[in-house]
Amino acid sequence: MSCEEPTTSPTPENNITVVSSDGKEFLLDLKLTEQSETLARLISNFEYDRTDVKKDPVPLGNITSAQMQKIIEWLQHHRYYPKWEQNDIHYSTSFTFETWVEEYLNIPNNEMFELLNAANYLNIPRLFSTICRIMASRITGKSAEQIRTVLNIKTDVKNDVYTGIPIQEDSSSSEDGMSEISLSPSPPPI
Amino acid sequence: MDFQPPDIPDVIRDYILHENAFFVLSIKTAICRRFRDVIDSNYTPFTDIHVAIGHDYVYVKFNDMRSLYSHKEVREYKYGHKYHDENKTFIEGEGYLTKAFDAVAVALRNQQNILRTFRLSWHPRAKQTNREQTAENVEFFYERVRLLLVNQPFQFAVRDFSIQDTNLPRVLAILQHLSPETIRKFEISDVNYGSWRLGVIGDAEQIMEQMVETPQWTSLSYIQIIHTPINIPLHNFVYCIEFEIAVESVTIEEIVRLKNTLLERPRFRRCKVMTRTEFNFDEIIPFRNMGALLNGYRHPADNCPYTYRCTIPYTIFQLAVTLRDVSFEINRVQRRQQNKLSNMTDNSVKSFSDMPTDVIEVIVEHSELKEQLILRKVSRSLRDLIDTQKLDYKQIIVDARPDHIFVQFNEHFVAYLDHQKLDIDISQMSSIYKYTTIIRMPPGGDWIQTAFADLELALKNPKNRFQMIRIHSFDDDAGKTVYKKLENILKPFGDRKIHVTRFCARVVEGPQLLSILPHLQPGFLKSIEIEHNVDLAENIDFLIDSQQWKKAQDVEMYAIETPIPIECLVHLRRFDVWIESIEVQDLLKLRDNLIISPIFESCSIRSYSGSAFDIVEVQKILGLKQPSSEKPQSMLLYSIPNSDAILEIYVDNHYVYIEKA
Repeated sequence: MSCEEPTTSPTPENNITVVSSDGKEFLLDLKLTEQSETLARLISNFEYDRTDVKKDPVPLGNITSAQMQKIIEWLQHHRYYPKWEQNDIHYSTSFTFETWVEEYLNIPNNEMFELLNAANYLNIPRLFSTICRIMASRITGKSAEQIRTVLNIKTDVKNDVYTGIPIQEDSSSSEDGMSEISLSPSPPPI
Repeated sequence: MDFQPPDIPDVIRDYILHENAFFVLSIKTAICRRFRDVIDSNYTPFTDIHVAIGHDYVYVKFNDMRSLYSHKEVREYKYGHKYHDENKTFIEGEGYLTKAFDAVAVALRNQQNILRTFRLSWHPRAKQTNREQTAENVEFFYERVRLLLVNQPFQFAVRDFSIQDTNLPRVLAILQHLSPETIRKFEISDVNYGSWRLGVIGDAEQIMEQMVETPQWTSLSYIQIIHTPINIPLHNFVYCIEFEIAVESVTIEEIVRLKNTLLERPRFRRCKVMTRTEFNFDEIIPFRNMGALLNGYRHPADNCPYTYRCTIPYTIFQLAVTLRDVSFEINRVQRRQQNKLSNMTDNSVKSFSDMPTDVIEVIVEHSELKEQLILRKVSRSLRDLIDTQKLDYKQIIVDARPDHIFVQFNEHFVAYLDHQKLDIDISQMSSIYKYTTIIRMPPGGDWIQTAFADLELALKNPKNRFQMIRIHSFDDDAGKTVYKKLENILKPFGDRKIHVTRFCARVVEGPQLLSILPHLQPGFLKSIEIEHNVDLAENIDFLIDSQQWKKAQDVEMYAIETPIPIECLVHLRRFDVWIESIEVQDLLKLRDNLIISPIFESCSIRSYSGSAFDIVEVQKILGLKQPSSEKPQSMLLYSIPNSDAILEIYVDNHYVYIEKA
């Protein structure tokens, strides 16, 4: 899906200022904030959509300026997209993404995690769901050991009780081991 | 029982009689006073004492043992049914109050005791005279308690102390004689019954000023003063973990100051301050700047519109300040975003495990079953999370063989086999088995156990919803093992049912089927398929009376050697059954039921014995018409009265097919 993106510059009447955790201020068009349920609710509560209300800067203590920059990029790209539908089957199950999205999310995992956290905090459902799908696609077809490497997870599971195959160096038996079915290689596409 | 010293409280006597009979026997010859001295100077097993005083009774609860002291036998009649386990002491006149106090005093006099809770309360009654009598009894009892504690050479050790009293000087005196080393919780409440209320005795502000200066006060972690509002400066409570108080009035500035102080108190958990004066947000300060004043923001998880969250620096916690008309609350809450799987405490997200739990759940939801099961293996914390989450199970097919078991989880095949068994030649099998995972047990490993451990994992999660569960075996012994093992898995679930839409079973014995079917959720189970040459004779009634059968929509039963009553089929949408024999009269009954069924679509019935149908007779008795020439001759039509619908009935020798068109 792609949409035409007319260029508009925010005016004092239709924008708010958000402040990242490192103190940097961002001027944000009110139209863009509609994609974030957190910001939209805040604007509604503070009546910042009224022109006669003084708009104080909104502190976003959990989001750094780099993350905010990235998020604004997403908001601007999806400015004219239709409103997000929670039960959109296409979005919820597919592992195919727009080229722009693939490039946008071609970032290291730790940045991805932080962006996901920020999307969750600001409640931007389209971004949140997209990153979740990207994360799910990155673990598809991988073994547990590969997932640990990809997602930088330190395991606390030591062995497999059924097969005796050590997952790491420890091969002693454990009652908490798990079945080998999850270690099976992925079948090639038919 | 010959052991009945008059000055030994019943509770002690009962305790000793019940718990330490040997001790009683050994001191039978001792004098009573000596016995009491022994009790008083030793640890006694009291942990909780709750006293509730009424107009003609005192309830004293020692630990879990409830004792009633009263001067009227009528109480046994009126209230005895409520507490069958209580000890009852009835004394004429006012002696019951003394008796109750003596019992409590045994615990209070004992320096060795450390009570967990000590609660003094009263029961105000609707009747004015009873209320006044209760107040007199309370005065008598509380004063005796005060005198006892004040005159003792030690401070009594109790952790939680609660008193319902308006006499604040007395409360202060009692508090001062409780051990500061043990006291952690202090509750004072006043007494009221509707509009009836006892006024505070003493200069409340002055008494409270003295109270907050006591060493006991500084030891307190939990304070509750639900009283006639007293103006106590809020800063007296900032070292508490929790507090709840009522004050005359409070200003927004005081709330802000309190919040700022509590931000720096790591122990603080929650507080509630009730005021007599109603907040007027609009007058005090323009409301839309309230968030800025509190330096907080609205959080979507908070239902109250006047709740503001303030982040506690360098922690994963926030203070949620909730303003209401005549109260405000401050609660320490954990930031949702920081609900981590790992123990990391800094804010940066370095690993998948550092993601909030609800975020990981969404990622797991987006994954397919195979990946979900792999994720279970990645770390223990992930496994714990996944085991409580709905997984992407769609179908489970169990195929038991004498020396191995195939289980299909969705499209993923797994073969469980013994370590001695030669590899299964998958290439000789159907192409669907091509990518089967082989799980070969190590020596001593139990392949059956392993297979059913994986099955249990799928079945035990109550959130899982299966489209199909199919169990079949071409070997009778292996089949018996499968059903037995499955029954062992399902039995501990109790009333919890498995949610599966379609259940297919190949059984050799009726009880096998009935060991599984009752564990499936009626109504959610839409389709039941049973096959194999099985005699359900003894179990047919159980089957057709089950809720699973009655709420099913589709039934297929092949090679079942049991006559099924026609009446038990007509509620179904579709059915395909083999029955022993069917007569024309049965067809008539069937037709009459099916034409009024709101959901019926089609059915087929095969009879494996009995005489073949005479089509002419069937046509005549059922009132069927010949269709147009392009339809087969054996196809007959029945127009449903008062409807445009028709039944198409195909009759062959031993076969009937009916479809609603």
